[in-house]
Amino acid sequence: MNPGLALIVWALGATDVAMTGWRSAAGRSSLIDKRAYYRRAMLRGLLYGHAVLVPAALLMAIAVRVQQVSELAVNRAVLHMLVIYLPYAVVMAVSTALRFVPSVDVRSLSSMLIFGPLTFVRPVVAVLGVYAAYRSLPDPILFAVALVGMAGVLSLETYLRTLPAR
Amino acid sequence: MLRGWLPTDGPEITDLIVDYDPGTLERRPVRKQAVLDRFGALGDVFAQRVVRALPEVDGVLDPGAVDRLMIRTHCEMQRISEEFDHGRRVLELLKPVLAALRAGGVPPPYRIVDIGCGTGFAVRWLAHARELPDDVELTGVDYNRALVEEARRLAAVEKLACGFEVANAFQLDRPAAVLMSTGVLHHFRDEGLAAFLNRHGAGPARAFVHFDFQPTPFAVPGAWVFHVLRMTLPIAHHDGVLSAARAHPADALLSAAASLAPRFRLGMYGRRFAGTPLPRVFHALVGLEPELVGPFESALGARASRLEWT
Repeated sequence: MNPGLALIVWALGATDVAMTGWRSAAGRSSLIDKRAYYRRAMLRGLLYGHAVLVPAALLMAIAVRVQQVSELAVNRAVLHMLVIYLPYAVVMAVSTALRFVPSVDVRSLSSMLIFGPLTFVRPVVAVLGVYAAYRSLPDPILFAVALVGMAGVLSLETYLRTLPAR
Repeated sequence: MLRGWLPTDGPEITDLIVDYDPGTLERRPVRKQAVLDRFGALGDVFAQRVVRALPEVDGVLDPGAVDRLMIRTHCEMQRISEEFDHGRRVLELLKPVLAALRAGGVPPPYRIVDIGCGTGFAVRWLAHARELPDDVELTGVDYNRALVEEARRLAAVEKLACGFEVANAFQLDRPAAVLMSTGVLHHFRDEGLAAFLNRHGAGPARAFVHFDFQPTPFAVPGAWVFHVLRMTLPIAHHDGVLSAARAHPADALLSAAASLAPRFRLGMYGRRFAGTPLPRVFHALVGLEPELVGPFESALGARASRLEWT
């Protein structure tokens, strides 16, 4: 796989699991200053998230080799996946930036109109991305591996919530 | 849209699983079956399911378990305040109120009392922000001792200059100059709302600011999405959505507070996004003694356009 594409996919995955760590910690501490708390939560998300991402990536690499898929086809499939994920990531990044605008209205609206609905559709977007890659590279083995990896990422929040909030 | 699912006129679960003697504020035992029957009569199956799962001792809800649940619920609910930047919303309205008190010749210290403070998010946020003058005292009051103790614990952990009392806000030894609340008004229904607001006229408070959800076509579906996404406790799902459904429109709030005139000038604050018909999530019932209105509007500056006086 093209190293640049691999880096983008890793960056998106790492950001997603870090934010999953944040979400899993939200609503579980009543302190006012939660910066350190959320830093720890995001690191926890990164750590546990990579426990899902790394094996999934390795499994995918093995499956690609076993299925003898060309690098060109893999790159094309990843690009199709990114067509779904990148706009979502950009909107989330913009929305996150809006949280730093010193306006109650802007912050409220970012939560109400962007974060809420987009978090709601995140599982759908995640599966759509995998499906877009499958449409480009219709290999059922790779599709199954990707879905298993995605299931791991999507269930991470539920798992993290079972850990004590610290 | 909630009819048949949640009885929009019915109480929230947290309204019924704790009870206090209004005179002594002592905790009273709550019979589980009585709560189940009440929700049964309302057809609120969801609430019945939640209450059925609560531990009991000889038919009485286990107060310790209820307290722990209340604290967890308030912890989850604090996320709403954080995501909607409620602390700053309160601060932005309190600053002009305090400026008006000062300009109106009201002598400091200015005691701000948050009624039904729960675990004290608003008060603790204000104390943490350190943007109010030193002659402002921040106090939260609530009937629920467990929540007040949790508020005190949290304030101590972060070394915040604020206090919390198990008390009736209208019977404090050192009364408030400003009364405030968040998400309290919708708990009062019909005559109860008018009775609560009328008590403002009997005390020495010079101003009040009560924030609550604004009932709009987006409120209930928005609350549902928010609570499904953000809350894990069934009680928070139920009460959160029901809160949005039970929120009073501005007209009802102003009508219930009407007897406070002419002692207080009454109005609503922050109903619409500037210059648009789009409603904000929260609005606030505002009351100030008439001589404070001018200084208040001056201190608000451009935000004075958010005020709608009666």
